[in-house]
Amino acid sequence: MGADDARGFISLDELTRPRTSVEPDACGCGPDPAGEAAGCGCDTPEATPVRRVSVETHVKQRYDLLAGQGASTLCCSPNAVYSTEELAGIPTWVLELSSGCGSPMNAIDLQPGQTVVDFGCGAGLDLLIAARRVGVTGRVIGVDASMHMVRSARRAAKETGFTNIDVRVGDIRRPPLREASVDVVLSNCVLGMFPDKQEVLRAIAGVLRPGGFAVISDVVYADDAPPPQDVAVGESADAEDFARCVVGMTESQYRELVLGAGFARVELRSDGPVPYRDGAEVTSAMIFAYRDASTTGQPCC
Amino acid sequence: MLVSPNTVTFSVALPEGTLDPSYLDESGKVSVLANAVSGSMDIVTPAEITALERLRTGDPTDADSTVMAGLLERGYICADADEDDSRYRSIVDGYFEAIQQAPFQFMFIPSFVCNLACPYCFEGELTTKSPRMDEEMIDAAFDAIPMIQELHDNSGPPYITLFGGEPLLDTAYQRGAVERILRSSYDRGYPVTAITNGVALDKYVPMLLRYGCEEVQVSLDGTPEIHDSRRVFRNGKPTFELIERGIDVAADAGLRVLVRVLIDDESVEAMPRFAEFAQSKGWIDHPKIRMFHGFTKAITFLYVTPDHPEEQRRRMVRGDVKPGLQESFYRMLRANPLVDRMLEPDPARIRSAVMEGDRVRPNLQGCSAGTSVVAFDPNGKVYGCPETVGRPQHACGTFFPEFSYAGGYRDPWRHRHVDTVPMCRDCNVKLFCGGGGCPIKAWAASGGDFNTCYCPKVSAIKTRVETELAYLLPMALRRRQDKAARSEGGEGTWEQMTRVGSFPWMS
Repeated sequence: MGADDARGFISLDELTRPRTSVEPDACGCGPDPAGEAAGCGCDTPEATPVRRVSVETHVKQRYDLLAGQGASTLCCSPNAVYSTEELAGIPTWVLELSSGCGSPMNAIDLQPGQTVVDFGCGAGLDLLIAARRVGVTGRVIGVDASMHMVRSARRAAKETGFTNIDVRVGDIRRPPLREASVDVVLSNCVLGMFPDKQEVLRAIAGVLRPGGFAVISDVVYADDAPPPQDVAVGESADAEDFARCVVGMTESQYRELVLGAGFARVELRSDGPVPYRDGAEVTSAMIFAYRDASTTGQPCC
Repeated sequence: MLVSPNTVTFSVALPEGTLDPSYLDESGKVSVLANAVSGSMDIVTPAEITALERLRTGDPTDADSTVMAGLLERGYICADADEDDSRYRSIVDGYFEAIQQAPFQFMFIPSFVCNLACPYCFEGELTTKSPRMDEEMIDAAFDAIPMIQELHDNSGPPYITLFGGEPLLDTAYQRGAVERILRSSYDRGYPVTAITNGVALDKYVPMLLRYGCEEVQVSLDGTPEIHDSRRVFRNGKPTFELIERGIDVAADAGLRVLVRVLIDDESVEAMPRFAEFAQSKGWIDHPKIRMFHGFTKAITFLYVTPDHPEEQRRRMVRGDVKPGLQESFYRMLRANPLVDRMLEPDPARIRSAVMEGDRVRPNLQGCSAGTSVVAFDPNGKVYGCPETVGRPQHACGTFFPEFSYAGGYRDPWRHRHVDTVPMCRDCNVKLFCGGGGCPIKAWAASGGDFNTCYCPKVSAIKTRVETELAYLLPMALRRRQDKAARSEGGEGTWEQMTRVGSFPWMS
């Protein structure tokens, strides 16, 4: 029998369909992804929980969904954090699909020729701004776990004509990047979606060249005040809190985390309260994390 | 006291005079006890075997307490079944944790085309005409890597292998595709290796080095005469000298080169001459070159699927290495130590235990493909075993134009090991074979269940270990005698003995 003989072959459709189907639970709940992350949500006390997905997977699925819908309902709109000049030339659909509680590109001075990576690039807004600044001799790489977001960012780069943008599917805890190959890492309201933030910070430190730095926007609140009402803290945070990026920590906790991840120096700049699209209000900060004893790439403000 | 469930008695025929006759049983063979959980392997006397077997059947003898203490100390018998099971369980659990962290090998097939026409090629007709991976498809394969890792909850650093067809064809298209794969791997920090026929390897060495390729594997069929009678270009022209040059250029440039020496009935007797050739080339002791052997084998199983009629399935998965080849191979090795030094054959994975005194290592998965291989083909399909590529019935997903992956099919395969296959769980030889036989054969033969066994027969597994023991033991014992003769104290200390073989307790 030859390889092109189809007799008895199983079609690929059949093969790629999960063979171990998820049976309904005792409560009859199906495998709803959101339900999986937080338990099935059924009130039936004897309900058997369905297989749990990790917070990271839940977050990714949420952003896949947003990319499919074409508009974000999460976090802040870029119009709330970037100036009109900075957003000039950015396609409207990119702005509608972008979410972020800060404006890391406002806070740093990129040089032509630098290699810049955006951890959790989403639809690619910060990639486009960075690509403009590093010029054709520079390189901007976006990493995102959501295939649909990666496709959106690639489309954005194509539509705007930037050829120095490279977007990759990847888990930012294990970024698809060569070690010590990057000048600047930026990440806008993404680290807050990872229960183990230090794991991501270690990965950032790993890809930065000696002297490189990271600028991270995240939910942070003051040491001497209670967390804002909408901010989830510690063990109380569930998968949906992570997906909405409302999980926060104090400035001291954040500093400790950054220094423990292999950075030589850290600076924090509070951005104060930021209103979310869904009505929540959190406090945000910009974190500058420097690899080794670098004095290069100082923030401009 | 009871016999540990993982204690195995191997019965080995050794040349006359190798051991004191008191070690031989009625059939003239010597018994070797082994337990891969305790890591022990020992030559024992017939009286010790009798004591063990009587204990196994629930009819213990009044054996000398020293004998029982020795068997206990080496882990062949135990006082507490639960404790023994817990030691076994910790090995199984440790293996499970290890594969979650272990690197996946992602194989890229830029096209199935190959410029050679080897008569035994498992890709056969696929290699004459093939679609090509374009840039978009290569990028999609790299996109699929983290997605597949996530589906398997795997956190190990991936590595990339160029595969074919022939990946290193000296054509413009192939150079472009290979360079894109190499560059993308380099940019992501993924290590790269290549499996090539080697005929254009020399031309690719600069590119491979530029992107940090670490290792290439080429194949030779033995002496130039035999090699050039079958591993030839499609027009029949010879390839040996081109591959020889590729090996030299690559190794001299600092690439690690694995040379797979293909052995079958035709080439086995020519191995001594090939070993002399390899030695004259400086390959055997070259720090960058390692040579190993592979046997040609039956490949009808590649065409089978679980929905074929049962009798047909069983017939198609039958056969592996041609009967008698292993025996011819070992016979040739015994007479030719240089071939042994060149290939250091170890199909049962016991060589370091016998020759170096290492612990016997438990083997929980006889085939690494299921646990760690993902192959991307130029049709946009994903495969879990490099031997099945291009056979759509064995595809487990797609990476282009859309990503789909049969996790429900692949996960049982990835997690299949000695303890998930019921038939293996109760077999005391399982930790010497890895359990279950070829996963694809088991899946096909059983009608679609990976947690089944396609076992040639337990006796065949035992025979494989016994054949290797029969080959290695005389060498190990000779070494031990030489060492003892050189040492001052005659018998030597335990440490000295373990350095020359794994038989510290040879009563």
